[in-house]
Formats: sequence, C-alpha cells, structure tokens
Amino acid sequence: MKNNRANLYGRSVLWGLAILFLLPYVFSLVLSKGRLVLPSDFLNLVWRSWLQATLSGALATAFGLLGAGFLLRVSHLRTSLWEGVALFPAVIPSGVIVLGLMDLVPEWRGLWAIAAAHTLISSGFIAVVLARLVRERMGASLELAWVEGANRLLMWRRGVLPRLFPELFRVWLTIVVSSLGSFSVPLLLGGSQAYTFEIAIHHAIRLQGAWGIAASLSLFQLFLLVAFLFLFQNLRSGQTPTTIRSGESASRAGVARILGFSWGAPFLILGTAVSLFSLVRDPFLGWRQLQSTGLLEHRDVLLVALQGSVATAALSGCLTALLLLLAATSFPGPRSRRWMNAYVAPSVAITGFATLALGWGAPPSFNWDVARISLGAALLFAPVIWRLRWAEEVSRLEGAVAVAQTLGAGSSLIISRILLPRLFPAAFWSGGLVAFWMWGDYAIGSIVASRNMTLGLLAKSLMESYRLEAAALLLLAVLVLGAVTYRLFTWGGSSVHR
Amino acid sequence: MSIVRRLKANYGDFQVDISDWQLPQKGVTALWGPSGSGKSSVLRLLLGIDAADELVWEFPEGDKVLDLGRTSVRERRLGVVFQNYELFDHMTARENLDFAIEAARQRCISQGEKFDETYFLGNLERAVKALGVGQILDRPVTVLSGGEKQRVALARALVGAPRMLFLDEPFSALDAANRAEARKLVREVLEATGIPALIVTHDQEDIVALGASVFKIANGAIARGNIV
Repeated sequence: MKNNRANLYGRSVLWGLAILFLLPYVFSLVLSKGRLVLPSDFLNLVWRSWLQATLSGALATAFGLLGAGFLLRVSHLRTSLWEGVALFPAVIPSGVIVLGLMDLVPEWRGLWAIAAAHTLISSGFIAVVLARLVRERMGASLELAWVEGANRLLMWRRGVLPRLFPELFRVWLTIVVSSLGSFSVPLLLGGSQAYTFEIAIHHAIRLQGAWGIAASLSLFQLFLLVAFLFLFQNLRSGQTPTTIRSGESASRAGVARILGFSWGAPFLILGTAVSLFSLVRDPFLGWRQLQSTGLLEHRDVLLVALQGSVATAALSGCLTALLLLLAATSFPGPRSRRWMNAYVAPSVAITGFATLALGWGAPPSFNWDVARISLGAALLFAPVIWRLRWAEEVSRLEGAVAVAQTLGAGSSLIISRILLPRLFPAAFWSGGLVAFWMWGDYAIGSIVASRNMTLGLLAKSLMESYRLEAAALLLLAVLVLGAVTYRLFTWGGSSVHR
Repeated sequence: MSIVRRLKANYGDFQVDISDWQLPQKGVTALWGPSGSGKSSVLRLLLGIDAADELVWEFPEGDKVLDLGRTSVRERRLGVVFQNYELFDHMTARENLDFAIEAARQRCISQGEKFDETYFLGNLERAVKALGVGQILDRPVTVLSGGEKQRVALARALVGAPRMLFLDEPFSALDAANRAEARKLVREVLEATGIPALIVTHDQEDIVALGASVFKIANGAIARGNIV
C-alpha cells in the first residue's frame, strides 16, 4: 500500500541519502571494473567461515542457555544488576575481550580462539534474552505446572526446552550471521588464515589490490546475509507473549526461580571476567611497559592518538546522529522505512576502503583520516542502530505525523515541532553509543588510517607485539573516556529535549 | 450529502472497493464491522493518510462541489481522533491545541486564503469550554488520564473547523465507567458544533449512544446502507 507522505523534505535529500548509503557498493563495483572473480581457495574459505560461525553460534547459545539458568535463579530485585554484568562484554569494544583472551591463553590463534571470543562477547546477551523469554512468555503455564507438582527437571524437559527451541534456533542463527561478518576479532585472533569473508576481503584489497575478488566475496556475503534474514523472518517463534500485569511479575519471577540453577553462574559471568581480568591486572604494569617501549618519550605519538580518538569518536557520533535524523525525517512512510530496515553495508572492509574516495589522491593527512574513519563508522553503525531503536521510534511517530497533516501542518512545522523534538534524544543516544564504540575501534581505522592515529589503533599495535599490559592501560583509558563521551552526548540530548 | 463515488485500494491480501457511498453531512455516521473488515483502512483512505488507487469523493461546500479525492491530506481539512489519541506527547495540552492553530495558519497560507486568527482562537476557546479541558491545559499530556487525553484530542481536532470529523474507535481505550460519560460528551459537542462525524467502531453501544446512522462494512465493501 502506498503512503501519501512520501518525503517531507523533497527528493534531493532522499536521493542524497540513497547515494551515500550506496557509495560502498558503487565504489567496489567501479574499482573491480565489473569483473567479479572468486578466489582460488573459495570453497575452503566458505567451509572455514561456516565452521567458525556455526561453532561460535553453538557455543554462544549453549553458554547463553546455561547463563539464563542462573539469571532465572537470582531474585527479581537483583536481576538488573546481573543483567548488567552479563551484557558488559557485548557493549564494550571487542578489543577488550580479545586482549583478555590473549592474556589468558598466549599464542592462541585460529578457529577456536575466534569462536571463544565470539562466545564470550555474545553469551551474556543471549542469557538475558532467554531468561526474559522464559520469565515473560512461559510464566503462566509454568506456574500451572508448578502447582500441579512438576519438578524442575520435568519443567525444563517438557515445558521450557521444547517451546524454547525455535528461539534457540533464532539466537543461534543471529550469532552465525554476526560471526560470518565479524572483522575486528579475526583480525587479531585469526592467525595466517581467513576465517571470515571480511578478513578475506581485507586481505584481497590490502595485500593483492584484487577488487574483483573483494567485490565478489562481498556480494556472496550479502547473499548469505539476505538468505539468513529471509530464513529468520520466516521462523515463527511459536509463542504468544503472556501479558504480565503489574504485581504479577514478582510471582512469575518466583516460579522462574524454581527453574533456575546457581551452577550456571560461571557461564554468565565468564565474558565479563575475561574482560576485567586484563583491565584490572595489567594497567599497573602497563605504565612501565609504555616507558620501556619508548612511547612515553615520544609523547606526540600518544597525543596524536588521543586527539585522533577524540576527533573520530565525536565526528562519528555526530555523523551517525545526523544520518539517522535525516533518514527518519526523510522516510516517514512505511515503504521507505522498509528500505532503511533492510539496508546493510556491503562489508566492513569494503565500506572502509570505499571511504578512501573521500579526498581521493590527496596526500595522507590526519584530517582526511578522521573524516574517512568517521564516515565509515556512520555508514556501518547507522543501519544497525536504526534497526535497534529507530525503526520502532519512527513507526511510533507515524500517527502523530498523520494527525499533524490532517490539521494542515506543512513539512517545516512537522519536522521542527514533531519529529525533531521527539527524535533528538534518540539521535544523541545513538551518537553517544557510536562515539563510545569508536573510542576502542581499530577495525575501520586499520583499513583507512595511514598510521596509529587513535588509541584503539595504538592498543591493537601493542597487542600484536604482545605488549598486553600497555594495551590494557590504553583500553582502560578508552573505556573511561568512551563512557564520558557517551555521557556528554546523552546529557546534550536531554538538554536539547528540555 | 457527500458521495464517495469510487474508492479503490489494494493492500495486497486485502482490497477496499466502494462505490456511490452516500455520507450524510449532518449528525453522526457509523462505519460498523468486525475486526479486519476494512473500516480503519477506509478511514485512512478518506483522510488521505494512505494513498488510494482511485478516490472520487464529491463534497458539497456552499454552491460548489469539491472532489476531495484530488486534494492532499492537509487540503482536505478533515479532523481525526485516533483510538490512541496520537497527542504530541512532548508537549502540554495547550501546546497541542496551539499546534492546531499554527497548522491551520500554514494551510491557509498554502492555499492562498486569509488566515483569521481570531476565528481559530474562538474555535479553540469554544472547544476548551465545551470539553472542559481548561484546568488541564498546562499539564504535559503524558500525565493525563485516558478520558482527559481523549478530550484534548477532540478539542485539537475541532480547532481547525474541519469539514468532517473522523473518530477511529474513540472509546475503546476507556474503561466502562468513563466510556458512557465520554459518549455523552462527544454527542453533545458534535451537536453543538454541527460538524458531521464518521465514527469507525465495532461496538454497537457507540452507535446507539451517538444516535448514528449505520453502514456495515465487510471485506472492504459497504455491505449494507443505513441499517438504523
């Protein structure tokens, strides 16, 4: 069904946005000159990537399920605290987990190391999702089973697991898809072989300049992603949500506690423990190691990295917020919203290299690098954050926009009085989140930057040379400064909203 | 009497197909039907929120007959109160009403008409008085009760002097005690303003309480005309 509110700005902004989002695709196709070539070890690459992704998915789902068992056990008053602990590894830059693994198991590289990192990053998040599902969707029927005398084992075997199976499959599939497209983890833990398409694309461009291979791998990855999304959307959850009225949640949490088991705790906190291991232990030694590397004597290296991190974090946050605001105010109709919901950047590597189009031919400079990294970050993160929060936010505004139009309001009034005030908090939140992530980024940076111009890149370089204590100190600084930047963005959002 | 000569729209698995539907220009008309019969779709199509494949809606005004199907959403000058009221919840009740005046000003300017602020302010004052929302004007709409929200939404829809008022399941979000009172208030306000209204409902009590003439809708088509 067509919607009468195609575009509030006019077609120029709409086209501008479309061109910007399609830039990485166009750039890779232009540089490949339309010649799509598969690499000679393509089948091996597919097998290794698939093995890595399915293993990551299986381990993360299993750990997540066991962690959910513990989350169900804890008192509902402490659930938020434990959920926070579980979500920590999924929220922080992935370099922290990689550092923890390198610290705990030195020289561990390859398939299992990557799968372990993916598991540690996502199992806590899965535990939170599964525990909430059990508590909120199955509470009523489990309560009945409990009253009728079922014990914990029977409730899990007959009541929970069969009904949770479709959800477990969806969770597994989500991790498989994200592991297939993973870049920053295999960049450090992959060793000599490529265990994801992203790394293969990166190697093809950086080592061979083979854009034809990069473009074909990127298209193949996109095809896989679309196929998985199609499968994902067609999976029915099989559960009807149980509405929990106020006052009921405590008793439902009570029945959920019968299901819980305390031995699931290690699986829930493992990711956080690994992250904190290096961050707590190493920074004290890190200062001395920094001195021994000579970095402290060349203070401009640290200063440039600090400046680079501030600039890329701030600019990435602002660009992402701006892109999302433009997309939300340009695409009020359901059809264009669907386009935005479906959009995915071709690959981290391709998007990163595509930003080299910015200032093409110009000599390497700090400013161009900052601009390219920020543009790459905005193109990669904006669609993810759109699906995370904005799709629902914009959809909720559809009725308000319709009413405003029936009242006679024009575009300027709708944008300035309805859309922007309602979307500003989300924009600042999104900007803050991207800024936080970009403090610790080394993925886009390592593709684009001509030197170690951010703290994240410097930390990666230190990790590669096994100066883990110094890297831990930098990553601790990255986390603290990233949190401060996030807070500044959200504070800005609430000030503007007021 | 306004006449919907032709209304056609394709929603994929569902079609709306209506012809020669005569809508009274006085009192309340109800479009009644079960869930999924297409009544809300018809309302969205007439408002212009969804684009119809074909819409010819002859609407007499003075000595002219307008074709509202050829006009944009804002030019149709129709009022609407949705089931969830769709108040601008970052504003106070007063700011919601002021927005309606600002929107009316923009519409007048875009259509090359003179904007008579006194007239619209008078409308606002009358709506506030008739609906008894004077005491809550400075409150953020997020803290208002369901009944209060509904009255503010109705006042906002009336400020711009709409040609016709559309009510989409307006009482379904209220509890039983407030619902009876709200129906009475809506009926009184509509009688006082003389604005014709089209109410979309599945509740026969709404129809009886508002004294509405009824059209039954099924599978996107008007199945029976004027059954009460």
